[in-house]
Amino acid sequence: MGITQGMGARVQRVEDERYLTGRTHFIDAMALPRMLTVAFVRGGEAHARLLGIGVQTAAACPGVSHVMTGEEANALCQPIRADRTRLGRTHYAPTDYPVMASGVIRHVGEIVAAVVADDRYLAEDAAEQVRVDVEPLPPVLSVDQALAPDAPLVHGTLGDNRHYHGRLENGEVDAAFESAHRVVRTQLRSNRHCASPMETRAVLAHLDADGRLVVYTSSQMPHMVRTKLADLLGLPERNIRVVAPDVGGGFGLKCHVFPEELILAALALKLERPVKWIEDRRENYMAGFHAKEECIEFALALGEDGTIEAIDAAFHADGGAYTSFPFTPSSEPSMAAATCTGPYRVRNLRTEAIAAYTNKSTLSVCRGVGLPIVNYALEHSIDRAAAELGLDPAEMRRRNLLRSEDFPYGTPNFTLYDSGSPLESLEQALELMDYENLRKEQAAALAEGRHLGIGIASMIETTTYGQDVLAPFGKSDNVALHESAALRVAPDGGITLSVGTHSHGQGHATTFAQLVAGVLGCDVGDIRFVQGDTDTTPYGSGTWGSRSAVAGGGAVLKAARQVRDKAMQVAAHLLQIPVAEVEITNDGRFARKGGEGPSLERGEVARAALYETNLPLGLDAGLEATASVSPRSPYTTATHIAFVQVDPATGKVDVLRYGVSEDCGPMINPTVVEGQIAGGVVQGIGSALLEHHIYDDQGQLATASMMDYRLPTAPLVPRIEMAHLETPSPHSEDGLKGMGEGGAVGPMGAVPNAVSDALKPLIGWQPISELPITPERVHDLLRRHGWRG
Amino acid sequence: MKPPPFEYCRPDSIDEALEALADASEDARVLAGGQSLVPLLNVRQVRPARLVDINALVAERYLTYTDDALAIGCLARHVDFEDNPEINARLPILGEAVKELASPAVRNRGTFCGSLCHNDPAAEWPLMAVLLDARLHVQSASGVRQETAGGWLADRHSPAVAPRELLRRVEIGVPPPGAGWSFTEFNRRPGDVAIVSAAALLTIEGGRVASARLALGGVDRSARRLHQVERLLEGETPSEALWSAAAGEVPALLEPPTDLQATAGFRRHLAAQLTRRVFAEAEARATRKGT
Repeated sequence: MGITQGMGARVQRVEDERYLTGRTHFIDAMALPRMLTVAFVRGGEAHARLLGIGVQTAAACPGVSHVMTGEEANALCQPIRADRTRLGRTHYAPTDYPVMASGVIRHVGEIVAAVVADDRYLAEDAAEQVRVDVEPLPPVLSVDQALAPDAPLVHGTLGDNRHYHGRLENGEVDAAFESAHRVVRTQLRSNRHCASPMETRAVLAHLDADGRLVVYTSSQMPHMVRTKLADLLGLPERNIRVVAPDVGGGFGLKCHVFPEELILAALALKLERPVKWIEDRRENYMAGFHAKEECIEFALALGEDGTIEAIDAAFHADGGAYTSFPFTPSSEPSMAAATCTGPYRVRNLRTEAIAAYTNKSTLSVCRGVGLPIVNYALEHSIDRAAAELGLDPAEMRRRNLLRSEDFPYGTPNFTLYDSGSPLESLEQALELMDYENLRKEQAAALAEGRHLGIGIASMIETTTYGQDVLAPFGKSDNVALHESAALRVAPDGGITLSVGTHSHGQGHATTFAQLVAGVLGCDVGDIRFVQGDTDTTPYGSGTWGSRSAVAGGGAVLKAARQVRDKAMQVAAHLLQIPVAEVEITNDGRFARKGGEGPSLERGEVARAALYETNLPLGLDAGLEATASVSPRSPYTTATHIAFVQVDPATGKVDVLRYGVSEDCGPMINPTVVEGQIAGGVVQGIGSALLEHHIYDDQGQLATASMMDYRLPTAPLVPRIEMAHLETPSPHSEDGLKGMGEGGAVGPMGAVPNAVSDALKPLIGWQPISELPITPERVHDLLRRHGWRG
Repeated sequence: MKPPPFEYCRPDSIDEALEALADASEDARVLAGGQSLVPLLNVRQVRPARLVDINALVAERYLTYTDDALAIGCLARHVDFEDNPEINARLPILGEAVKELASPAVRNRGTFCGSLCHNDPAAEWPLMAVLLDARLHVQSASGVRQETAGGWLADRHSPAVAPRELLRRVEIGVPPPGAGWSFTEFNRRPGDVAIVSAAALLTIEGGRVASARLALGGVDRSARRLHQVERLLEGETPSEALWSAAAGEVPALLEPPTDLQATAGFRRHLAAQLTRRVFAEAEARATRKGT
C-alpha cells in the first residue's frame, strides 16, 4: 500500500479497536499489590477561614491508613505557582496555589484533607468523620462584584481581586467611533463551562523497585507533570516517571498540573505503598477547572457601507479562586482580546482583558480558549450591524472578510495571520447549505407559522500557540513550546515512533503514522506508536492548543526525513548507485529511480545500518532519529452556518442542520479532521444551548452532577455537513495547521445568530445577550419586546 | 460517590421480602431497578439501614389485564411498556409516555412501581397514575391496603409507602373505547426529567365533552390532576377556543417551584401551553359518538 496511506488518505483509525473493544488501560482499571485508595475531604464553603481540622475519629475508622491535612501536605509540597516575565505594563498577580487549603478555603471543593484507606468505600466513610471548623467569610461570586471598589478580597495579600489586566490600543479608535456612520455596542455574558471529559481525573502513584516515584495520571501533558512534581516535591526529575496511559478525553482540563497529582505523589512517598484516586463527577465539577465565563462589552464602529472601521472590546473573566499552572485564568480573556478582530480587516482596535479572582472553581482553558467568546461577541455584533444597516448577514461579511490574497496579514493586536481563506470559506459554506434556498425555505415556513433561522459565523482559529503568539503573554516561561519525536527502525524494518504529545481521542496513532508512511513508503501498520510515558518519549509539553499536528506532527516529519535520508545513503551504498539516484518505491522498497535493477526492503537497509555489515565510510551505525520543532502559529479559517427552528410558544430551539466550511491546510486524514469538526460542533451546540455551571448566592455549586450540568446528547445533534479548503501554512512542516478546537468555536456565534434571525419577524433583530440560550430566556426576550403570542 | 454501609438481602419470596422489611432495625428500603435509589445512596442523601433487593421475585414482573384494568407488578420494568402491542392497543398513552422516560439503559432496569415510590414531581409514571386514577396495592407483613394515586403522590417527600411496606401492584383502568388521549412533556434534552409535562383524556358525545381529565407534572410537589379545569370543560363544545380558555385557567391554579430548570412563572406559562396542546391532540384522537 505504502504511499496510499500517507498524507491525505482516509485511513481507518488504528486506535479504534482498543477503544471499541474495551482493551484499554485507563487508570481506574489498574491495580497494584498493597494499593490504597484516596478520598478527599473538600471544603463546603465558598470562602471561609479554616480554623481547625479534626482527624482523630476518621483516622480510627476501619481500614484507614492515614489522614493527611494541609499542614502536612503543604510542608511536603510547595504551592503551585505560575510566574511570568516580560509582561511590560500588563498587570499580572499570580497566587500561591497550595495543594491543600492553607488557612483559607477559597471555593467549594477545595481540598482540606486526604483520607487513605483500603478502598474507596471505607475512605468515604472516614472522610465523613473529618471535622472541619470554619469561620465563613463573605464570598465574591461574580467578576462584577470582584472588580467593585469595596469588594472583599479573595486573596488578602493582593491589593485587589485582579489576576490579570491587559490593555491594548492600536490606531485611531476614538476618531473612528466619533466619525462612524453607526456604532453597534453590545453587552454579553457567556456561560461558565467545564470540559466534562468522559474519564474524570485519575492518579495512581507508587514507588518502583528502585524507589523511583511513578505517577500514572490522566493528563494531556505527562512531561510537564513530571517537571512540576520534581520542582515542587524537591526530587531529581530523573527519579520520577510519569505515565499518561489511555486518557478518556481532556478538552483542556487535563493540560494543567493539579494539586491531586502532587498529593498522591506525596502520599506514595510517605506511605511507600501505591495510592490511587479516581475523581468522581461531583468532584470534577466542583474542583476540576471551569472555563469561558466572561462579561463582554463589544462595540463596532461602522462605515455607511458596513465596513468595520474600529472595534472596542472588553473581556472580563470570572477567574475563580487560584492561579492554575501552566495556563491561568488570564488565558481566557487575554486570548479573547488577542483574537477579537477575527477573520476581518480591522485597522483600529482597543481591547481590555481582565481576569478577576472569585470564590469559585478556578477558571482556565477549555477547547477554544477565548475564541468561542470572540465568536459569540464578534459574529453576533456583525449580524446586529447587518440588521441595522439592512444588509444580508452574508453580504455584511463579504464586505469585511479577509481574502486569501490578503495573507500574511498583520492584525492590530500585533498578530501575524500566516495564511487562510476566510472569504472563500464563507462562499463555500453558503454553497454547501444552499443559502438562497435556505432563505426561501425560511420564508415558506414563516408563512405556515414556523420560525426558522439561519446563523452564519466566520472565524479564524489560532493553532499551535508558538512563541509568536504566547511570548507577549509570558507563558513561555511555564510551558515548553517545542515538540519532539523519536523514530527508530528495527532490524526487521518495523518502525517505533515515540512522541511527547498525547492523543486522548485525536487519533495520533493513525495520523502520525500516516506522516511516517508518507515519507518512508510504509503502511500505518508497520509503525508502533508510543506516547505518554516520560521514560520512553522525548520531552514535549503535550497536547493542547491544537498544536499536535504542527508541533508534534512536524517533529515526526522531520525525524522521518532524517531516517529516510540516512536510509537512502545506506541503500545507495548497498545498491552501488549515487544517493541522488535512490528513491523509495510505492511499495516501500529502496530502488534506483525508474525502477531499473535490484531493490532493497527497508529491513535489509536497517540490518545493514544496525549490524554495520556494509555501511558507507564515515556513517554512524543505527537507523533512528530524534527531531524537534519550535513552531510558529498557523491559522485555520472557517465559516459555520446553523439552521434552527424556534418555537416562540415555549422558547425551544432545535438545530435542524449545520454546515462547516473549514480550511485547516493540508489534511493528514480527512476522516479524522471531520471527526474533530463534528465533535467540536456538538460541543459548541452544547455551549450555545445547554452548558452552564451555576453557583447560588452562597457560592454553592448548584450544578454538581450531569443531571444539572447539561451536555449535548445524541438526539440533539443535527446533520453536520462539511466542506474543505486546503491552504498550506508557510510556517510549518508540509504546510500543516491545527484544527482541534475550531469546531467548538463557530456554534457560539452561529447558533445565537440563527435564533435572533428566527425571532426577527416577531420582535425585530434582538441580541441574545446571555448564554446558554435557554427556553426561558427566549421566552423572556419575546415578552420583553412585546410579543405575547 | 460510594454509599455508606447498609445491610443487603435478596429474598426469594414476597413473604421473605415483607419480613425483611418488617424486622429491619431501622429504615429499610426496597431495591427494585435502583435507577433513582442507587444514585441517592451514592451521594449519601439516603442512608437506609437495610436494602431489600426484590429482583429475585421474577413472578412480580408482569403486565396483565383483568376486566377493564391493567395490573402492573412491582418488578415490571419501563422497557416492558415499550413497543408493547397490548399496551399500544389498550393504553397507548403509556406506550407514548415511556418513550420520553430517561434513556434505554434506565428503561431496562427501572420499574414502574419504583418510579411511583420515588415520586419525582415531573416523572412520567406518576403523571400517568394520577391521570388514569391508578389503584395502588401496598403490602406489608401486617396486611394489604389500597391507595389512590392522587392521595399517594400528594407529597413528594412523604410518599404514603412506609419504610416497611412494598408497593406490590398497581392497577390502571383502561379508558373507554373512543376516548381521546394525549401526553406531552417539555424538556431541554430528550430523556431529561420534564420541566413541565401534561396529559389529557377526553370523551366526546353528541358533539360535547362528556368527560375530560387533565394531569400536569413539574408544576407542584407531585404530579396532579386539575379537576377545576376538567369540570369547566364538561358539556362544552370542543374547539380551539375552548382549549385556550382551559389553558388560561391553569396558571392561577398552580404553585410551581423555581429551580435551575425554570422559574415558577415560566412553568405556569408552559403548563398553559401544554394544556392547550394536549386537549387539542386528545380531541383529534377522540372518536365522536352520537353525532
